[in-house]
Amino acid sequence: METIRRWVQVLSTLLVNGYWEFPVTRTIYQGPLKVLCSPGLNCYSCPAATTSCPIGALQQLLAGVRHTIDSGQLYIGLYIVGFMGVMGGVLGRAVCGWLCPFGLIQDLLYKIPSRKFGIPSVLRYLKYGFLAFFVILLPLLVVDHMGSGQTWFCKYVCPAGTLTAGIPMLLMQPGLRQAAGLLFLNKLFIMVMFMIWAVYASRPFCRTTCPLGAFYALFAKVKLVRLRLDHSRCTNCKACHQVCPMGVKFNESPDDAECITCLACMDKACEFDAISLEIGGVPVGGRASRPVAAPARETGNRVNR
Amino acid sequence: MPPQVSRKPSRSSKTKVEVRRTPFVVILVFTLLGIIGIATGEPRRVLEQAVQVCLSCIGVG
Ligand code: SF4
Ligand code: SF4
Ligand code: SF4
Repeated sequence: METIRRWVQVLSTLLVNGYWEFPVTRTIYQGPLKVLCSPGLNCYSCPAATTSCPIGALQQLLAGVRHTIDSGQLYIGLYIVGFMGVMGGVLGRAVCGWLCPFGLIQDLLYKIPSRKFGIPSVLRYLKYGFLAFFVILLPLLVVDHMGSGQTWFCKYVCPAGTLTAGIPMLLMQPGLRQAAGLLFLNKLFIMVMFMIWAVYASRPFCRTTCPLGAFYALFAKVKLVRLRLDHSRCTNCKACHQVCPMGVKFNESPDDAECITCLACMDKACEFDAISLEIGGVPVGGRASRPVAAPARETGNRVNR
Repeated sequence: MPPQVSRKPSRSSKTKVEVRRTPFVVILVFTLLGIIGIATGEPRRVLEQAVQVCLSCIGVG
């Protein structure tokens, strides 16, 4: 299952980054596909990006809302929120586990051999602050004398933008390099910190900072595709705790907002067939009976939370 | 070591399947929001923004 998930992640990353003429054109894709949003965090200023980033697009609409009202329109991001809500309603954070390019990057960094550390679970709440303030309230409310807001999360935080857009664009366009000052250094520092952190802890950006992950997390209890725990089968052996890349204690919190539906607990950990996958309440998969296997901690799949 | 517990009979023989309606309501609500957004012309604005290099994203403006 892990291999299938990896292939889906790679395929999804290639699908939303399908513009490979950029080394020749030395700029970003400017075609009609950019009207579509990518389900995961994928910067639309990445030279290869063929779709829009929902978090970037939403901030831009909110930052410019006064101008559009002046011109008789009301662009408050309903198209974007509608798209994100449908993704959230169907998959929730399975988007993070299966479709997001920046999730894949962090998964790969975590594979680098090193000592592994957990992340204090209280930090998970930070990302809701980034969603509420940096994506919605600050772009909407803090405006200059022209009535223009700023894309706060893109401008001051987003490491995905720095890695996949900032660095390649600065390499390709020397003119931009002269404009790179403190703002760029700040973003570069944040990006490097997250990259290093991702080697030592599993998905630190997803767990502490990502506003898109925070949005999808709101659907944990109502999403269509989710995992289910059969309490009558669960022996409280806690094997599911050991393999979770998001620090979820699945049998204690089966609808946990951090679960990215990677299926590791169902596929690799639970000996007792207590975890299954359901779509809208209908079971569609679970590990079929299999010979008694070695406990997860002996299979090398353990993850430090 | 997990405790040794004997396997129980297959789940299908015991579990009652109950279709959850909430996800469909949620999906419908957000689909409607999206349609309203499309009707007001938001996608065009999104495209206009997305085809320009976002200086904030790359950290120079
Ligand atoms: S939390 Fe954000 S960066 Fe992480 S996988 Fe989800 S959308 Fe991508
Ligand atoms: S709870 Fe299970 S499916 Fe969810 S993220 Fe953890 S291991 Fe993956
Ligand atoms: S691995 Fe299975 S049996 Fe063990 S605690 Fe988790 S859900 Fe329960």
